[in-house]
Amino acid sequence: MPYIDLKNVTYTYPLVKEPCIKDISVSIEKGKFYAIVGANGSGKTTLCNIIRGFIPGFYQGEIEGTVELEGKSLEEYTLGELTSKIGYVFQNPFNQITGARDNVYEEIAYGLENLGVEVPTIRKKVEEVMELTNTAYLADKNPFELSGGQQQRVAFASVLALEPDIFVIDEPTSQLDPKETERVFDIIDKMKKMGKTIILVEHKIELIAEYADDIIALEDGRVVKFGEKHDVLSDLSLIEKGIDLPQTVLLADELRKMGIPAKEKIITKQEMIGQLKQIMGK
Amino acid sequence: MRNSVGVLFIILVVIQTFFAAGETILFSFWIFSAKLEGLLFALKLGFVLANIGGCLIWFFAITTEKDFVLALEKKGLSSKASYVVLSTLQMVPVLKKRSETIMNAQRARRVETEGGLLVRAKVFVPTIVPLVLSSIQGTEERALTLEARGFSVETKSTHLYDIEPKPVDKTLNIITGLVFILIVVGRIVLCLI
Ligand SMILES: Nc1ncnc2c1ncn2[C@@H]1O[C@H](COP(=O)(O)OP(=O)(O)O)[C@@H](O)[C@H]1O
Ligand SMILES: [Mg+2]
Repeated sequence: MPYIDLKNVTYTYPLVKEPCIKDISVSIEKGKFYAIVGANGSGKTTLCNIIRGFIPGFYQGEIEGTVELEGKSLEEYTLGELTSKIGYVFQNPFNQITGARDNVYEEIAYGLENLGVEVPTIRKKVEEVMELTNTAYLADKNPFELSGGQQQRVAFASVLALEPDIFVIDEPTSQLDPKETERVFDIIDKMKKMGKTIILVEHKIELIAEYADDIIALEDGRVVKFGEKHDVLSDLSLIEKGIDLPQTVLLADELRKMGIPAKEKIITKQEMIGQLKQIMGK
Repeated sequence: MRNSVGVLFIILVVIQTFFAAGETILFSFWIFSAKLEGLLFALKLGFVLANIGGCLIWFFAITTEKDFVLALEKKGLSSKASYVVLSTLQMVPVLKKRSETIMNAQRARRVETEGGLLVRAKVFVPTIVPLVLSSIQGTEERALTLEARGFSVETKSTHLYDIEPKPVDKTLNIITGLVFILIVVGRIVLCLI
């Protein structure tokens, strides 16, 4: 049985004529890491909001088709249930600081307070996730006075504290420098190792090639390719659809054109090095 | 804030003493004359004012907003209302900083930001518009953030940071109540005599 199941989902925002999600059907398995790729405006964020249950609830609009989590329609879950099942992290670090609390420790605890968790348990969980996200040294700081990267890690910690099984993460690194991007992927990798199901929207294709399992490629609200990352990322036709492919895929293609027998589906640096060694007979 | 009560007091005394109608002239110079009735009235009003102002200032000097709002929340203020108060207080310095950034950016585009009243009035639009727009733009995402943190979940929330009334608070409450009743009764008795 699929964990999250979207069947023929079509969605139109209020006051808009055209649907921006068109007949999408995807099945998400538990514990896997999915990446959503696609050009700007292709519907990635909208798809995330559908999976998170914010659509149609928060945004209104018209939705067709079904979205099920563990065999039960999303609409049958209460807000509290969804909050503790699906965590959501998104792009702008600043907007993910609630403003309800004046230090990082309490900011991370805020969600647990709202869910009515007992104080000793809150402390235990907050300290765990601070360890995991390397934010313990920020505990007493005002969350508004942190750098973007630090705020993003606090956002991850705040969501992790709620211990959801599923993480929907929308372009978490687009406003971060390379060092902070690496730290964020480090956290995502740890989450995957904890057995969480991850749905990540990200443009940095090389990082996706390295960390993700499966990829959902969107173009103009439709799924144009969905499957194992090697299969998806080696499809050169995706370039025309505004989707970046890893450098190694392009390089392997060039090599083949030059008559050098490079394998298909080389998507990471490591795989490329192995292939080059083989070609050079080492 | 602290000085404003004093300033108000002095203004009150001066205006009332010199300009209120009265018979008993204390002293006079040029066209002004100080009158006793005005002075007495001003002192009476002034002390009431200083009393109320002083209490408020004292209260907020020794009570953090965090404690104040938490106490209200425990007395039944909705967590949504307390969020509005706390986040607004937190947002003020953030917005101030952002408006400085915008000012700097506009200055780099040769918008005059310093000078007389007219110059400052003219700069109002190019600074306030980006400030308001950027804040509005963030509200949808912040609303989702709050949703994702269980903001609308209707469970009774717990408090990591908490204040418990101490025994001395209870005693103080009782004493204050008694004093209040005494004063009210005293006034009534004084009126009746
Ligand atoms: N709140 C909204 N109301 C109306 N249209 C929207 C709204 N949000 C996004 N859209 C439109 O839906 C389409 C998909 O947007 P989005 O999901 O944000 O794309 P992506 O995240 O892939 O950049 C875009 O054409 C966008 O203009
Ligand atoms: Mg988006």
